[in-house]
Amino acid sequence: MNLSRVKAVVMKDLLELRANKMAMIPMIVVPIVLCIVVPAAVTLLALRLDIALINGAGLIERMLPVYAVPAVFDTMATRIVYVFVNYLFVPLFMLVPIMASSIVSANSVVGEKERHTLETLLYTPITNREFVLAKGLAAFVPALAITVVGFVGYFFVVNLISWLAVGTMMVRSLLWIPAILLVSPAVSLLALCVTLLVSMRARSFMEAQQMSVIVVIPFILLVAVQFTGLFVLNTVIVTLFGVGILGLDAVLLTRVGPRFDRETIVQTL
Amino acid sequence: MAAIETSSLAKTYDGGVQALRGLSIEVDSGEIFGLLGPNGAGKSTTVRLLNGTLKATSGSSSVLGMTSGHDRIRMVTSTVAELAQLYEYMSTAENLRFFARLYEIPGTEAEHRINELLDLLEIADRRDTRVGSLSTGLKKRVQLARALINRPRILFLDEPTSGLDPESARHVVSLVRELAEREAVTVFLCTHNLPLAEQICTSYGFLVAGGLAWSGSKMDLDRRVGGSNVVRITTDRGIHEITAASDRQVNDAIRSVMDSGACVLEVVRKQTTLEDAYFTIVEGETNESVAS
Repeated sequence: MNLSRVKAVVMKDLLELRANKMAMIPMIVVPIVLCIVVPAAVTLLALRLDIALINGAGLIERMLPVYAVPAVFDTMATRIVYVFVNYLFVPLFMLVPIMASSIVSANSVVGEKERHTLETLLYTPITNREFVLAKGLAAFVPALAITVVGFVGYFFVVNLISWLAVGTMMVRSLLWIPAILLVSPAVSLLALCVTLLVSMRARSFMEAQQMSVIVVIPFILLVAVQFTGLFVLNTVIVTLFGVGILGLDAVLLTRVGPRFDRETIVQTL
Repeated sequence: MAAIETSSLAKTYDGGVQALRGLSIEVDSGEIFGLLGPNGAGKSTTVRLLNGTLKATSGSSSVLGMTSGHDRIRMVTSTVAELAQLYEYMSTAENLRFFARLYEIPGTEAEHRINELLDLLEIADRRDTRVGSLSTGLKKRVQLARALINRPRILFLDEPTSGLDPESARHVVSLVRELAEREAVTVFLCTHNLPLAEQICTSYGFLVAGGLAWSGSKMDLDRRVGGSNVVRITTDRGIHEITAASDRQVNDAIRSVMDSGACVLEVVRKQTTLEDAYFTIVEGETNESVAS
């Protein structure tokens, strides 16, 4: 394994990503909207306006008892906002790395097919393992960076609003630690493996993205189930969930590595 | 030692398409070998098998003594394919620098080589120009520079003049010939452009529907189709075509015509073009397969 070759491809892919507006726009806009604009708007509206005006507040009010809310939040509005910003928004930080890693990996493999540069790359001495590692890292690193930056933005913006409104920080649950440090990288890797597998045979960027978007479905269900109150996230559940996804990643990685060979890719060029 | 050797090399793709049927060829070091055939004959498949991108279904091949599939083959060879492109958002120098890294060429040596190639291919003034904004002819020259960055011992060229105007194509042809001599590279050229092959190749292989119809040197080809042995003598009494095995026989034929009292107006040794020879052999091969 030649790591300088891997590094060269990763750096090249990152530069290529920066130059691709079709990939960059959703990579920037979606995390800003999901991780900052929507949570900030919900926090601001709920704390500043009458909570009863918010559509669906009655439903959230009924499921409040199933969540562990610190006693410092003693009004209905602060309790509801706490549930939102510490529980209901958690799956958003799983959707972002999934979206980011599938966009970047689809762009770096199928995008190269479309631009006819993959053939040139495959004719160089890069080995199959170096190729998979480089393409994986080129997607994993930005996906993780976007998630972390999104969370930092979320943490500061939502806490700033709540500090100004009620004099205390709202984003403070411990479950954020495994959520950001374990689950986000794990789901990012999951989306990456699926996209790489799909990318081997896909002939267009759109085709690869449409196929790999299947990974998002369970996480959208998680958001929906959370709203019903039937399933409540906590630190242990989030940690176990992350470990489970990592296990799935390990299985997929053993599949992706050997299946990702030049022969399969070249036949779809 | 042969630079390239294949023995009964065959490839059938996943969908059952038989692209190559038992190809056996030998290309000596320093040769410019032209693998000629129509689209779909199996030329690109042959290149991909030789450079280790594809695995053979049966048969074997060796490149510079390394058996097929060896990753190191791509370290000492280079491939310029018809559709393969460079990174358009990068400049000429950035592209060359990127590929130099893949070939493990140290920084200073890579810069030296890049300057050398930019001068050699007359694109030094396009060093910092984005490849996407270059003309097709200039892109092809950058591709050649990219292919030579690792000082390859074998250069695989798959339709290198495809999409080029006649002037650019002629330039690429002369560059390949010059580079082959200057860099002592064995060139394996795949093309359906017979005039191009005739200009630069020292030996040929004719590929038809995945099978080799004929292979050999230019001299072998002349012998096979009797190319340069036909002499046409135009006199005031008419045209005489004779077959002469040597210059002496040509001389005797002219003398004999003159002795008969005719006035010789023109003597032309009829050159059989590669295209004539190709179609003579390929059509013969096709007729034989139809008959059998």
